[in-house]
Amino acid sequence: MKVAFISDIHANFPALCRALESAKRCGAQKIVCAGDVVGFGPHPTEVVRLLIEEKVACIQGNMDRKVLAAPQSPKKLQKRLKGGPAKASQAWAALNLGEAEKAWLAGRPGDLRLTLGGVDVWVVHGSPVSDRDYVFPSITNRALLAKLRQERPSVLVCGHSHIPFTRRVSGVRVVNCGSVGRPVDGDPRGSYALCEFAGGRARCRIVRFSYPVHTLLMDLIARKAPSVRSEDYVRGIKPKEE
Amino acid sequence: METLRYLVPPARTWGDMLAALSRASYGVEPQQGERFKALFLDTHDGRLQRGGARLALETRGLLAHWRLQGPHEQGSAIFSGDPGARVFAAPPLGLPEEAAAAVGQRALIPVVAARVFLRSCTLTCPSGSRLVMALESFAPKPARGRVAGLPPRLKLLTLRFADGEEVSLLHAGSYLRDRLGLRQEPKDLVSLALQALGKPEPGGPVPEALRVRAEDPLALAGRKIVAQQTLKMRANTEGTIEDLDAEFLHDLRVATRRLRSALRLFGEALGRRRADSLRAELAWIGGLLGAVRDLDVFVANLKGQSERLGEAGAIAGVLAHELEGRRGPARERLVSALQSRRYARLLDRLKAQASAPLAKSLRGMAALPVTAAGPLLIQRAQKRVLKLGRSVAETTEPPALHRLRILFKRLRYTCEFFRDAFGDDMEPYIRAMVRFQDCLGEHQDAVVAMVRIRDLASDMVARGLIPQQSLLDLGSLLQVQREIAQDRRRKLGELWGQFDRPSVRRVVRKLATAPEGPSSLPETMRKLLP
Repeated sequence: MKVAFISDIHANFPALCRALESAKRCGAQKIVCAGDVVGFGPHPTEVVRLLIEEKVACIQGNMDRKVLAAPQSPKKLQKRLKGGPAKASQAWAALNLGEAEKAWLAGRPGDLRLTLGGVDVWVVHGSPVSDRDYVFPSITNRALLAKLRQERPSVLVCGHSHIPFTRRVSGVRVVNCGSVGRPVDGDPRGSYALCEFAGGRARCRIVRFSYPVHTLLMDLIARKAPSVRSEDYVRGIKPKEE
Repeated sequence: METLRYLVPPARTWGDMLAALSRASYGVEPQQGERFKALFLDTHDGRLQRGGARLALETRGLLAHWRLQGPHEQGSAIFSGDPGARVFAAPPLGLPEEAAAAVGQRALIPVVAARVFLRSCTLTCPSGSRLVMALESFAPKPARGRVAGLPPRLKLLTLRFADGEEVSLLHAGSYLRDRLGLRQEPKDLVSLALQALGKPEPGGPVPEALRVRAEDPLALAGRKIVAQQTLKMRANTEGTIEDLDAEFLHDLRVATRRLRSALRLFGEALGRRRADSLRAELAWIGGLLGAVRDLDVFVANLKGQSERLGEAGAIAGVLAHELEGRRGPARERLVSALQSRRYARLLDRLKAQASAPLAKSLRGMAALPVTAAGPLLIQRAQKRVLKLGRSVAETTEPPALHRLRILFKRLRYTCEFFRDAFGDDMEPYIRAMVRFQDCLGEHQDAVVAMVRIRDLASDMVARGLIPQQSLLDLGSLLQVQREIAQDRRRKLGELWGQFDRPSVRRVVRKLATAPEGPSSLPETMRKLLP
């Protein structure tokens, strides 16, 4: 079976729509999301609703956790809105996310352990250690084993770094989905991982897709959503202060 | 934001939208569908459209309704009359109040006709808010004339907020847009239809690409201004030929005047020989337009005075009637000129002039940016106005005042050509200028009217069209013109004082001394300036 692993949507609805269209075109029968659904983008509600509609198996990312844990007082949220892009966008998302959508997001687990086509797949947001830890393409055998501790999944799926790659490390297929809605590797196109599970084996590849960045930028302006610079979306880069 | 509009790709259907919304847990309540003919109307200068309103005359079977969709309210009223009329003279009866206020005394002119299939329903959002969704499928055709080939088919989806949380409108909008590949459309149905038909929008704004920017070299700015005014000529030609509203003719005449002025001003930057030849052609059409327009203005003045003077004004009515008879042949000459090959060739030449590529290496004035060349061209025109204006006294002869009026017009056009580049800085200057120029115009009209009334009356008396006993009334009519001329002449001194004062002159000086202005140019470049 073919499964699309998406991650780090960051409230970018046009990108999520294109990612799902692309995954379906590629024959994905199931979609799994590795967290960071909200934050940065202007469409937190729409993104959560679409994940519910498409019955996407999803876990919480560090950004989702922070949005859900944002102070309940509107005064404090207003104060946070004046902070840096990350804090301000968390506060904005907390103010703009509907109650039903918050409840759904709060009900998501921190990780998922799935058996797909006889393959043991572990989906985490950052790394097995924490949702704030990173798995970069340069990870060594030793570092990965240290992060996995006693666990030995066949496939480890993660996100968080926004840098997509797939590599076999110490017998484990490590897949980082990159980011659907906030790519930072110099390519403004979104990315996800498409894996085919058959006969106890997994074959994974990274898929890139383009989405209408101008639509996102227009919505950021129209909804007065704090975010990173427009240029960062257009060029697919990460500002230093983020 | 209470309404969102999206252009729907032809392959997407109403059913696709409802299915997508149902999947996303939106509730869809009673659906309605109806087919009707719609005739969209506006004034010649697009007053309704500019105010964000749309007025349609909708015909269903034998019944016709005015329907107004305004930015704030909707209106509907039964129409009685001929829905196929060429023009709806002001004020059309039964027009919804908001539309009547916007239209004023202007005639309503059909802009686009369309057969519309309208489907609508109420949406209940997952958050409980309610929206109204409507899909208009329509095949527009021009209100007059034909369009080559198959008429375009357009689908416009409108989402309107009804009650609950306003953000639900945005959620539903972005959902439909991104899921179904719709395109958010700031334009409304009429603008889209006109765009699809390749017709200009009545009173539409200058396209962004044709706006003069501060950094544009003068050669490019000149081309943009020629393009702007050529567009205006094209937009007003059809209305002038069909005599839908006297304002079409006025606007066409103003566009030709501005073009002549622009070709004189930018002659060096555009190519002197070609500019001069175009100016000669524009003078030809301008003369024909002027002949009809002057009669229109004169007749309107006479009619106004006929009402004001009561019994004694009857003679003004007689003169107006005689002039209206003379308008016919003048208009015929104009219409045949506007339908001639010569006029079509003139428009094509103007278009070619506007779109001519810039030389790879511009030289002299043509290369200077608007910020540097603009203030100098304004100063040059201002210098001529000040020189003649300061010599004007109570006893100055009308021809000198007429010359001053022409110089003022040139100065005003020069300022207006660069308005987009300099923004609001120019406004006080232009306002002061317009006040003086208007007063001069009224003076000139009264002086010309006196001469024309005398000539016309003596001609009509000789032909026995005016009885001898009405000659006294004629005297009172001339007296009115004399009084207008004297009154305007008295005001001229005061208005000149408002124009020729340091605070107003400083506006132009400020433009010239701005950091990017001509004073910042190196000495070698400044030598090139006039």
